[in-house]
This record gives sequence, structure tokens and C-alpha cells, in this order.
Amino acid sequence: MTIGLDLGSYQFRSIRTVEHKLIARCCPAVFATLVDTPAHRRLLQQSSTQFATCSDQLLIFGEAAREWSPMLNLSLTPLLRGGRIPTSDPVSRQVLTLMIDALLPSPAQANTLCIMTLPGGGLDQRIQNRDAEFFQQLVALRGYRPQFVTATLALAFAELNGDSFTGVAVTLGHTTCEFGIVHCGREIVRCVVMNGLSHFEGLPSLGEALDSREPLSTSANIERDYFRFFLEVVSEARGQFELDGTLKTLPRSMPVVCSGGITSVPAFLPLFQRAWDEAEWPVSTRPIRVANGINLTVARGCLIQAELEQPSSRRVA
Amino acid sequence: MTSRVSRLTCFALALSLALGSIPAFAQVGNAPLPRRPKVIAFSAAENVKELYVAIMGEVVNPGTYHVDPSALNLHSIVKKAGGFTADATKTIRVIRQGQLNHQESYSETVNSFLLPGDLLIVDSRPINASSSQVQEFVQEPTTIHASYQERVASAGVQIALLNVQDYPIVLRLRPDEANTVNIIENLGQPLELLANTKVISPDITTRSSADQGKFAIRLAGGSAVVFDRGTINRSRLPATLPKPIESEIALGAQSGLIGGSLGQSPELMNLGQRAFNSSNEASDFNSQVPLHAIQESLPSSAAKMGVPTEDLKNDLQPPVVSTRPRIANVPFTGTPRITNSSTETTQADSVVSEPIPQPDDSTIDSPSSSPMTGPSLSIDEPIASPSSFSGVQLLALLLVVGALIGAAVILRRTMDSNAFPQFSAPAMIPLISEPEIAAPMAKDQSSARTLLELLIKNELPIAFEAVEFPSELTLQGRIVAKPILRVDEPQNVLKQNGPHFETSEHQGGYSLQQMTAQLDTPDVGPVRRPHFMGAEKPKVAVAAKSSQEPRELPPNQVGERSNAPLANALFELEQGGRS
Repeated sequence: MTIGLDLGSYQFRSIRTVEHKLIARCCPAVFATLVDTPAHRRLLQQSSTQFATCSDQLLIFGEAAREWSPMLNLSLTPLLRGGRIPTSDPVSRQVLTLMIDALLPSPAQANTLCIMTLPGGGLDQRIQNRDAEFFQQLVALRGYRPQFVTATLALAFAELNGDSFTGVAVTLGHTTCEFGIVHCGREIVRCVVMNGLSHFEGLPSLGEALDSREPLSTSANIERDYFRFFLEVVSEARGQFELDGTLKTLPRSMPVVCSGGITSVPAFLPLFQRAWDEAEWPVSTRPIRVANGINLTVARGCLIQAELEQPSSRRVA
Repeated sequence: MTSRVSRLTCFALALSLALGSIPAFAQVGNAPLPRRPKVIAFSAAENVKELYVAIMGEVVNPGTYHVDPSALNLHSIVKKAGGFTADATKTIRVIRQGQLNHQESYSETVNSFLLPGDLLIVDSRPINASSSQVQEFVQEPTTIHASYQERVASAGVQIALLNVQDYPIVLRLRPDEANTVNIIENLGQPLELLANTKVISPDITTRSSADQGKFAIRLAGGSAVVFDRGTINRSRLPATLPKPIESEIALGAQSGLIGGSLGQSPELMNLGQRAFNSSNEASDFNSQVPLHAIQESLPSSAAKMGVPTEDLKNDLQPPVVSTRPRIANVPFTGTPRITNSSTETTQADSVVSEPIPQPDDSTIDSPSSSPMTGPSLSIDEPIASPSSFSGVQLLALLLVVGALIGAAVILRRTMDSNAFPQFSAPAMIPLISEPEIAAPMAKDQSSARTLLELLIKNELPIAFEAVEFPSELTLQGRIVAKPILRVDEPQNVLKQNGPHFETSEHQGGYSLQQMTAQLDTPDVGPVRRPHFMGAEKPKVAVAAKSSQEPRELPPNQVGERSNAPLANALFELEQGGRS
């Protein structure tokens, strides 16, 4: 058995195969606190919500926190700040531990391979990346053998099978946007733009049905803001790739695939395509397409990588 | 004799029957053949053709290696380089795109990916100051301090050149020859190039100062000289620069700067070392012969960069291996002997056929495992002596065999006709093939495909599992205060998430949720309604309140936000209510 673990800045996902089925677990990387009162305790117990206590507060995690927050008007506290584990926050680390434990089932055998991504695009300079060590330790303590893969490579594994695993993989995340150029299943170069969609938190999201009382220009303004954001990150990535000289070596007509929560919005694709065209990539690219199963694409790519790493005798036929 | 003829006849009969069946089987073209496994052919694409990674330092065979895309990882490169030496710390610095990218510790369990053109430097253990080995070079104003510990036995310092060719180049130089000016001169480049070079010294930081472009920089082992891209005139480069090691078999083609051991076979290395060290002890750097002296001492001046000369190369030509015929023309004199040619080689053969040991080819340990003299069973005698049969007997035997083959062909064709439909080929083939291949496909097409294929094509159904947390755990520590929330009034948008009236625990008091929950509690008895709190207020809350003296006044009187009516109402509630 192998497992893929996609640790995003805003959501954690794990996926594994059980009897020709994919079993997925998703958990938002947030928690919420309530004052520890009998009423709150009773409320949580009656609704079978798991909680923890910490310094006279009740903590609820993940999906439960997201469900209860609008009802109780709770503030959601992200476990990761800017894609990184906050320093001097032991509670967040403990909640992260609980989440990783909850996402990973007990392995059937020791040293089961777990291919994982890191939040915030943080795979480079892994030695200096304490977050990587922290997550690696958590997964290892669960009985798995962790290996890292970039989110873009995982996306290419999951989505570029029809193009010989060659193309441009783009992940638009909460804190970072990653661009990876993959050739024949090998990531040639990757660019992480430290600018994510968290800027739009609290603002009306793209394509959201606005109140009729709002001025008509509001919708256009939202689209304009998103377009500017896309153009900024795409231009930044193009500039980095040009500096590196990678684009000269690419074959013509590269497919481009995008993933991320924003890609589920119907208004995303034309907007992003326009930004892509305006950034004037020196290589011709095919029309951008959106990954299938947006929420689990990267996790599925991790699982593919894990299956590829398995010896052929262990692969389930 | 008779028994031998009968045996041969039986053999001929069986052979003819088998051969006779071939045309019949060949005619069965319309029958469904078993599915064959799909063969995937791999070919190097244009932009992944040049996958080179260099490794130097404390490895057995430092050099530049050509690797497959699948082997572009740390473990493969270290394995290609023959592993670490005894002095290796297993701390590897990765130079990527002309700068120190990261440093990592080698681990058997954790493998890391590399990129083409990476340079890996394996550091050595620190040496005691009392040892006679060179610790560091003289600190001069224009000298980069080098703390890299180069072992004496390695006979030279290893220097890497980046952006000279499309791949990193690893050289081994004498310490006194290891400076940037000498390298640039030997590369046939103008000295103005000094301004466009950068030296990455063994200590973590990249030393690049303004003075580097003006003076020669003495290089320590493990240094990398990075030239600016496009500044090297490649037409002037000596043709004898070390080439990447293309494959494990062709390791002998790799040549070092001064006949070094960079990826060469041990014999090449020894010859190069002999030329390099000439009459000096390898244990003393300062006693080594300068580069130009070595080049002059060589019989041929072909290689300014000190590559083995033509004579030396002739010495290094692989020996011609004499292959013996598998079936010897020796008359049969007794019982046929089946011998292993590798164990029966003559002394001359054993000397000649001994291959040059390859650094990375651990399987070539003995002549028996050499591809040229591999173990092969050879029957050194003919099956029968020529005098055993006469010509007439052989002719008769051939005629019999031919007749039998013809009869078998006719018989088979007759069977394929409608005379015996139950034995016809189309009826027989499904009995062989269908139960194995076709039947499972008919039941469930997906079961015949691998899980990996289904996974890649995203054809597996997905089910979601609930994430279960352990309940009522107690976490240690203090919850970090949440970010301050504010209402952006012009846009009437709540910045950040969460309630804007929530009080943090530093402020004390009650949150809106707490009050709401208490008011909604069906158990009326213990409910502490806010406007009846008075003396029944919890001590914690009282203490918190008492620690904030200005709370006696409404918030708008202490300079806080004036237009927060709900906050004012809550404040008044806490103070006992308006009524």
C-alpha cells in the first residue's frame, strides 16, 4: 500500500487505493477556539464533534471548525501562516500533528511509501526548511517512509499522461503559485511565485453572484483584480524561466494544465488564458486546461509517483 | 552403430514433424492471437539529451557523469561515482546554476532529486592540526581562505569548472597550479576573463569580491570556478578537456587534466599518476612537479592540458582478446568433454583475456565475468567423428528426413481441411489462448489493466473518508493571540476572518458567543445572566476586569472607536444594564 499526501497551505489531503477504489481524506488546515463552557461542551458532544482543550478553550479542527464557524461566529485560525508553520506556536504544531495522524491511516506494513508535497512550495533548500523536517518526522512517526515531490510534478503525473508527461503544470495555491516545466516525467525547472490567492480572502470571489444592489462595476472590478493578479504571477514566472534559459530548449506547443481551488470557478479559465496570452510566452502553448478533480489532483499525482516508486512485483495488478 | 542410427532416425522424425507443423501454424493468420504486452520504447528527447552531473570530493571516482533522466538523483550519482571514500563526511554541497544551492547530508533512506548540470561536492572529514597534511593555504589579500581538507593520497586538488562546456568539468590539479590564472591560460582564454569568473570556495559562503577579477585566486580542493555564461570561447578550448563519462563501460575513455583518476580505470589512473607524480612522493604537495614540467617531460606535446600522450594511449589500448571457436576441429578420441572455456584457458589466454578493471563495473572481477570471455559451455569435440558415416549413409539419412518433413506437411494440411473439423486450428487455438487472456477481459476489462494505468487515467472511483480526531485531548501551551480584526468601513467588508467583537483573553471579559451560549442554556438555575452578574461574576473575569482600570468608562470616552454601538451595549450590560 502506498499513499499520497498533499499538504497545501489551506487544506491537507491524503489519498490511497483500497480494492480498486481511491479513498481520500481531506481536512482544512484551520482550527477554531471556543470558550470552555458546559454549554459549548454539551453542544460539541451532542453533535459528535471531536474537540481538544487548551488553556480554558475548546479547540475544534478542520472541517468541523469550518462548519461551526459561521454558526457560532468563530474565527478560523490557519495552522500555517504564509505556508509556513508559525514559530513559537506550540498549539498549532500539536494540531498539525493531530491532523497528519488523522489523515494517514495506520500502515499495513512498516516503511510504507508516502509521497508528499509541502505547503508554500517549500521543497527547495530542504535542509534549511524546518517545516519539511517537521512534516517528515510526523509522517515517519506514523510508520510511513516519506518522500517529497513538488506539487507541479505531481500535477503533471496526474494530468499530463496524454502528453507524454510533458508540459507546463501550474498550481494556484493559497500562498504560492507554482509553475513547473515537466519533460517526459521529469521536472526540468520550477518557479514558485510567493504570491497566492490569500490576497482575495474576505473579498467577493471570482464569479460570485453579487447582490443586485451592488453597482454593476463591482463585478468588473473583481475580474480586473484577478486578472492583474494572474498577469503578475504569470509574467513573473515567464521572466524567471527566460532568465534561466529554459524556454529555449522547450518543444513547441506545450500543453498547460492548471489546478487549485480557483480553477473550479467557470470565470477562471478565460481570465487566466487572457493573462497567459498577455504575458507573451516565447514558446507556443496549447490552450490552457483545468485539471480534473481539482481538489485531489495533486494528491493523486503523489500517489502515482508512489506507485511508480514501488517495485513491479508489489504493484497491485 | 545401429543404436546410434536409430537414435538419429528418431530425432530426425521428431524434427520433421515439428518442422512440418510450421507452415500449418503459419496459415492460421485469422485466428485471434493472444494479446501481447505493450512495449513502451524510450528515446532521449532533445532537451534531455545532455544530462550531466558532476561529483567531486571524497568519492571513489570523481568526475562528470552522463545519467538517464530516471537516475537523476543523489543515490544514483554517488553509486556511479563508486561510493564514498573513508574520509567522506557524507555532507554534500550542491552547486546549481553557478551558485551554492544547498547542502545536505547523505542518507540511505532519503533520496533527493538533482537537476542537469549540478555539481556535487562531498566534503571530507576535518583533519587534526598535528597531521602533516595541508590544512589551508597562505592567507593573502587576494587569496580565498580555504579550509577544505584535501587528502594527500588523492595527489592533487579537485577543481570544478562551470559554464565552460555544457556540463561541469572536474579537474585534478597540483595545489600550486590551482589558481584561476593558470586555469584560464590552460583553457586558451584571455586573462581578461578573470573579471568574469566567480569562485565558490569550500566554505559555505560564496566568496566573490571585487578583487577576484584582478588577481589570481589560489584555489583549494573542492572549489568551483564559475565563468559567466557566454564568455568562454569554446573554439579555443583544448580538445583534451575531460569528457563526461558516458556509460559505465566506457569509463576508460575519461581523461583527467593531468592524467588524473577522474572516472578512469585504475590502470589508466595509475599510469596517469605515474606521469603526474614522476619521481616524487605523492605525500607532499610541495614536492610535486609543476604542470609545465610534466607536460615537457611527456614524449608528445599534444596535450597542453596534460592528457595522456599517444604513446601512453597506445599502452592503454584494450588488449585484443583471442576468441576460440566453440567447436574445435579436434578428432574425437574418447568421451566428449564439456568444459568451461573460462576455466580451461591457457596461461597466455588468461593473461591476455584479463580485462581492464572498470571502476564502476563491480561485476568484472574475474575473467569469467568479462563480456569478452564470459563463461560459455563449449564442446571441444565434434559430436561424431567424420569417419563414422559414409557419404551414402548420410545422403540416405537426408532423404529420409526430407521425406518425413514432406509427409508431415501434407498430413498437417489434410488435418486443417474440413476432413477433421474438430481438430482444425481455429478450433484449437481458443482452447489455448482464451482461458488465459480473453476470458478475464470479457468479465472485467479493468481487472486486466494495472492499478497504475487506471490511476494515471483517473478511472478509479473516489470515496471520501471522514477525518476522525481523538476526542477531548488536552493540548499543551498557550493559544497565540489571533490577528486584530477590523471592519473596513468604506467598503463595509470584514477584513480578516472571524467576529469583530470577540475579546481576546488578554482583555478578559466575555465573548459574545459565551454570552449567547449561556443565555440559550436550558438549565436556568446556574445561568449567570450578564446584567445580574454583579457579585456572582466569576473571579477570573473580575480579576481580568480589575486589571484594566479604564474600563470604568465607556469605550468612546477613552479614545476607542466611537461608532461601535454594540460594543457599548455589551459594556453597559457588563456594568449592570441600563435599567
